[in-house]
Amino acid sequence: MVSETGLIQNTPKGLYCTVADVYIDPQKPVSRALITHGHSDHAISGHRYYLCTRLTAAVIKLRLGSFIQTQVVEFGEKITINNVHFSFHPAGHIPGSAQIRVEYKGEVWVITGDYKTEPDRVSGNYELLKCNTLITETTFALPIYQWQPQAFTMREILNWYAYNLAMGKSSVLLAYALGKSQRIIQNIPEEISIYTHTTVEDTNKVLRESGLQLRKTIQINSRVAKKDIQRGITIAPSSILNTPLMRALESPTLGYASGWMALNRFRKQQTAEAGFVLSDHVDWNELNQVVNDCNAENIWLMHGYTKEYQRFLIAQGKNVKDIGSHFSLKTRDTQPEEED
Amino acid sequence: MNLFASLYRSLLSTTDSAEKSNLIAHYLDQLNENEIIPAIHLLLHGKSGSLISTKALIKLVMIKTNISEDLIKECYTACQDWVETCSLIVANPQVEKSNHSLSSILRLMHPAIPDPMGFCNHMWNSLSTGETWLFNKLITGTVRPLISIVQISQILSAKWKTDQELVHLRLVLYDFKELTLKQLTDPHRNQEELNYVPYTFVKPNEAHINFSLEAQDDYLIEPFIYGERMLVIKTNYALQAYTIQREWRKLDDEEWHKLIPEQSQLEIIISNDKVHILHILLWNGEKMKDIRLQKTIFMEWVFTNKLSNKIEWVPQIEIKDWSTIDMQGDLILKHKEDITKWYRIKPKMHELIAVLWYAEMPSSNQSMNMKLTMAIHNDQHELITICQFPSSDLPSSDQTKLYYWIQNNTVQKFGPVRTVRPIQHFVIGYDRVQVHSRSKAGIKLINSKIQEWKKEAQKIEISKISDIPAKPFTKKDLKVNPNESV
Repeated sequence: MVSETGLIQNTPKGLYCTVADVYIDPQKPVSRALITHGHSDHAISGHRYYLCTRLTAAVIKLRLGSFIQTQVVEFGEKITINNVHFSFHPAGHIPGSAQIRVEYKGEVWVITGDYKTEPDRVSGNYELLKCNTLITETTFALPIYQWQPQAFTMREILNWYAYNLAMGKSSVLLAYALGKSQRIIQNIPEEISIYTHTTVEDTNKVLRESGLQLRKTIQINSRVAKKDIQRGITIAPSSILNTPLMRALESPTLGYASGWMALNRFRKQQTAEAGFVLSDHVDWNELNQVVNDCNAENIWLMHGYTKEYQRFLIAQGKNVKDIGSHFSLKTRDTQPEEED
Repeated sequence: MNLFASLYRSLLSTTDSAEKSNLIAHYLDQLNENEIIPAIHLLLHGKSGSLISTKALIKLVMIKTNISEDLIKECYTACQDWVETCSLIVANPQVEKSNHSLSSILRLMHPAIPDPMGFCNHMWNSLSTGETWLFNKLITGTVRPLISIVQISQILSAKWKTDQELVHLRLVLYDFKELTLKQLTDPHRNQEELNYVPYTFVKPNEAHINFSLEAQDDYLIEPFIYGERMLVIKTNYALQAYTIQREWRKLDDEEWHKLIPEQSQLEIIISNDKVHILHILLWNGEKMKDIRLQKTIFMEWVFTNKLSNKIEWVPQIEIKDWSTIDMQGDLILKHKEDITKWYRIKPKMHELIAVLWYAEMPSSNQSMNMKLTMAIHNDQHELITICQFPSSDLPSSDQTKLYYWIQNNTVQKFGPVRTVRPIQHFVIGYDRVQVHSRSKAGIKLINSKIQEWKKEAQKIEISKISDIPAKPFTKKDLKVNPNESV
């Protein structure tokens, strides 16, 4: 079996395909990197070549610099390197996010990257891939994390907005600039104006230029009247706090959209008045569903609650390996700044 | 239920009172009238009576979900709250909001429920995530009160255009199980409510003051009785005295209800926050009734006699039998605007002559003061301790003198306590005497203080216990000490 010989290995630089000599989401500069999506913990600067999807390429060029060398691959397109076949498939995490399928001598590996199975209108629909070895993220791999459908959360957000409007307050929704912001923007009805922070608007612009259909948004600047902003919803990253822009808004009320908002203790840690449970990762039920449906003989776990989920799967008779995580909630008092 | 759950969560995450009020007002706008009273009750008092313990809840969750104890503990580590952990595990995320109302769930939640497991299972399946959390808090009795009675009465009175004090009173007075929204927000007071005075409102100078104060109209009169503030109310027939306690309490004694004629119009002279009727005096034109509370009699006496030419609001009251009256309290004149301007009108204290007998020397770690124990004579002409003072009651120069005198005149030492020659006499003032079984003298002086150190008079007569008066005060014992303390 190839898995015993180690087609993909967990190295200090990241997941490494020995036969093709490429890395997947490497954490240190390498020669050739396959990138699942554009979040900063998956796409770092310094690689010589980046292989990723079209939207991801646009985003990482915005974030890392236009000088980086990218090769774009379409979803489902096969690329062969040293007889190893690579293909990118929708992961449903953020716009352009992909799972990477690796096939060599009949054995299939799937590296999910970050993913979610619920469609959100901007990130593409998750595609279930059958494989021999599944390398999956476990950011929210505890039974306390069970997401409500996106529609419920969006209604909550709209109720909150209506309440703020009635009270004469500006609604400022804090969300990660890449992924969450676009997801919220796309699911807010057209009749409500959306105002965006520069960081969000820059990302929107790049994504639109790369072909993503995203509804109209207005970037906040000195020409936009405060009263107009008050009547709409402002989407901004959490770095907006304590900035002149925030102070310039008319009685702003903060909401925070994140999967971590499921827990009261994280809600209380935020300066936001309202918390909305909206995650771009799989929850407990979805993760179990994926693990069962992909028919993988071996499961590797990374990111988040790896040890806890490993114990759970071992108890079910699965062959599981914990390949570590970038952070562990057990050792942290606060949630990660970004959930990717 | 869904609305209340989200309100509860929002209230938990804010500390801003105005925001809390806005949230509740917005919530009340959306509610059915039947839901308002149980919601207010929960917000005010929290716990609604627990159905099962938190431990039992965890077991139920383990049985229902078949999740191992270890994994539940891991969840708890992430969540830091058992009820929340259980709720998130058993919640059905596919339910957006249930059809259950808060009142219906509270009705179902009675302690004699035959199958709590079945009940919880049924509810968990039909409730949304937020509702499940609140439901589990309800069944385990872990709902916290999140708003004060003042805030809620403010919100309700603004919404239904009712007197805030009246709503406040009703929230305190009535049992929530019997209370209806209509009853709570009815703008008319019933007789029972008329007899209560729930709030701070001041009608100054109902009593007319002729003191030589610069601006008489700016002052309020407030009786002061040993730390208890009082409220005095004049009716057409009577004077009533109220004292403040922590909260309203129904008067046990039904008698006073009979004493107040139903038609009487209560006029508030002086009022304070949160008062309740403790005792009442009724003047029927001939004599005082209900004279159990001597404090109050004293108040009457102060008003009618001590200030007879200065306060004109109770000319009809006259106490003829002074022998029943003991000195019990003071009167305070307070400026309406300036809290630093107040006068305590106090009768002259009782006095006795005592002699210094023991002195406990200062301990460097605890206090720099000596403790001075005074003694008087008993009937057998033996010294007996009567009271103790810190040396700080004396002026600094006297403290030093006394310190050296004690060092030179110590008869016996026992630890830090020294027995001294009983030749230093002090005039001790006190308000009254209380029987005190643990004291050697059998009595205790209330509000005692050193008034004078008689340094030269060596042959002065020490007071005897039998001399300590149980006699009443006369009018001339009273004097006014403006600005006694600020």
